[in-house]
Amino acid sequence: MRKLFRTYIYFIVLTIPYYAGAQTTQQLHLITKTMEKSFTYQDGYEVNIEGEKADVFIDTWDKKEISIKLELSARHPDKAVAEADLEKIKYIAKRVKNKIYLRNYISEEEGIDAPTSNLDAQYTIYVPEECPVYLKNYFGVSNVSNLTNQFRFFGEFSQVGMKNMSGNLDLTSRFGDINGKMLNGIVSVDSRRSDITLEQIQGSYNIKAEYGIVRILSGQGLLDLNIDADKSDVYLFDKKLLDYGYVLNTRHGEVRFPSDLKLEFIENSDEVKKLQFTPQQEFYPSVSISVTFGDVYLEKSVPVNADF
Amino acid sequence: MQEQNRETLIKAIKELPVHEPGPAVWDRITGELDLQESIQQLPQYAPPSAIWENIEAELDSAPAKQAKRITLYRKLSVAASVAILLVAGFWLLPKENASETVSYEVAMAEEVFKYENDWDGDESSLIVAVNAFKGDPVAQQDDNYNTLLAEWDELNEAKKEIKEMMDKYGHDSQFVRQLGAIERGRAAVAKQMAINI
Repeated sequence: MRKLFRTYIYFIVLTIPYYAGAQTTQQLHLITKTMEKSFTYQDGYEVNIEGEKADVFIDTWDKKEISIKLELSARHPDKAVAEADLEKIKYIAKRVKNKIYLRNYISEEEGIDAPTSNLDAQYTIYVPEECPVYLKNYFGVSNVSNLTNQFRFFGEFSQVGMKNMSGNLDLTSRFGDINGKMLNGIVSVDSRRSDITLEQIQGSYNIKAEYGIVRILSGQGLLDLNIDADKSDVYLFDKKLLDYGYVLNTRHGEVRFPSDLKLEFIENSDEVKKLQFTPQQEFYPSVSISVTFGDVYLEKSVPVNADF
Repeated sequence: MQEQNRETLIKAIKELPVHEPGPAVWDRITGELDLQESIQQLPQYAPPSAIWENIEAELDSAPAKQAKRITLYRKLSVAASVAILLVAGFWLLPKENASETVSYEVAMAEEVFKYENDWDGDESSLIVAVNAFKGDPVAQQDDNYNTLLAEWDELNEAKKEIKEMMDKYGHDSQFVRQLGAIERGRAAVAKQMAINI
């Protein structure tokens, strides 16, 4: 009887049809409101952005100035509705002491109907490269480039992409993938249900990941790499794998590595695997990876059919 | 220049009410006059000559101080300095571009996708599996029992957040993709629960 019930439940769950949205086309009115503002930059200033459903683009320039362009848009078949809904998106762009504070949100006042249009916000921000930036984004997409001092990110349901960044990078994400290319500095990542892909990285890295895939494509200049992952797989791709020192731990997982990498098993049971390797040279980058319920892959090159 | 309506004004003044001062007012005035007379009748005394000598001696020993005279030149100098400081402060203070520009643009979106709300269609089936898992004594012995339930709750919370954002910002493809990922996660957890029963 119990087996029959289990089979019944399993059948129900397995036959859940894969979700696919029905699509129709429709002509919509697109109303866009654009706000532009700039601030003279001074040492000690920080740009603080709090986006909601926002595409955020941040880059640097040579001017001692912070330039902000915020485009708010509403789409709806009825032009009047789109116009009215657009005004429900509120924004703030002001300096408070040494912080340039930017925010967009939908005001939820009593007696005012919720918007029925599709609404978006898009920030285009240029700052001096040394300007610290703290970006919070909720259900958005962020792309940040060329900052050299400090970048902090807190995202929920928001993907972040970074390119050519250095200094202190502090990234926290929930349900939002983290992608970085040409990073150099002291980097800290705390993620949950987010995939992490970092390419051509230099400097020191501390990564904590839960329920995600961590892919590291390191380059010359990597100093330390510490990864603590739970229910996640970790990939390290580097053609100079043999030059690094390793401490690898898995619980309920496997470690796969090239045969010419002479990792020594300190412990090798079904549940726990501990491996280490110390290279001959005096100075070497240190790689420490600890994974629970996941596997570790060390490879010299990215597979040709990799989808990242 | 001739005054207009003079007769009317005179008539109005004559018709104004007349008030007599109360007796207490006269008493107070008389009292104040008596006080002035009494002060004048007070005796006068001349200070002893030694006091004047001491005062003169102190004046002779103290260095002569020049009376301060604020010249017109000095006033102009101070005014100029203040003006320079104000101008410098204005230039040195961090400036915001006061001319925050806001513009509007209206266009037609050519191709837009609208998605039907069918993500709750399998909810009852998933709930059956989760409830069976929750009440199953064998599953309760599994190491992952609490983990799976926590994962289920977390995904439910995430789905709720996405749906709330959809209510605010509309059903665009980004939300639908995120909801799709959450639903796949929920299905995977429910399948694992079904296996563990």
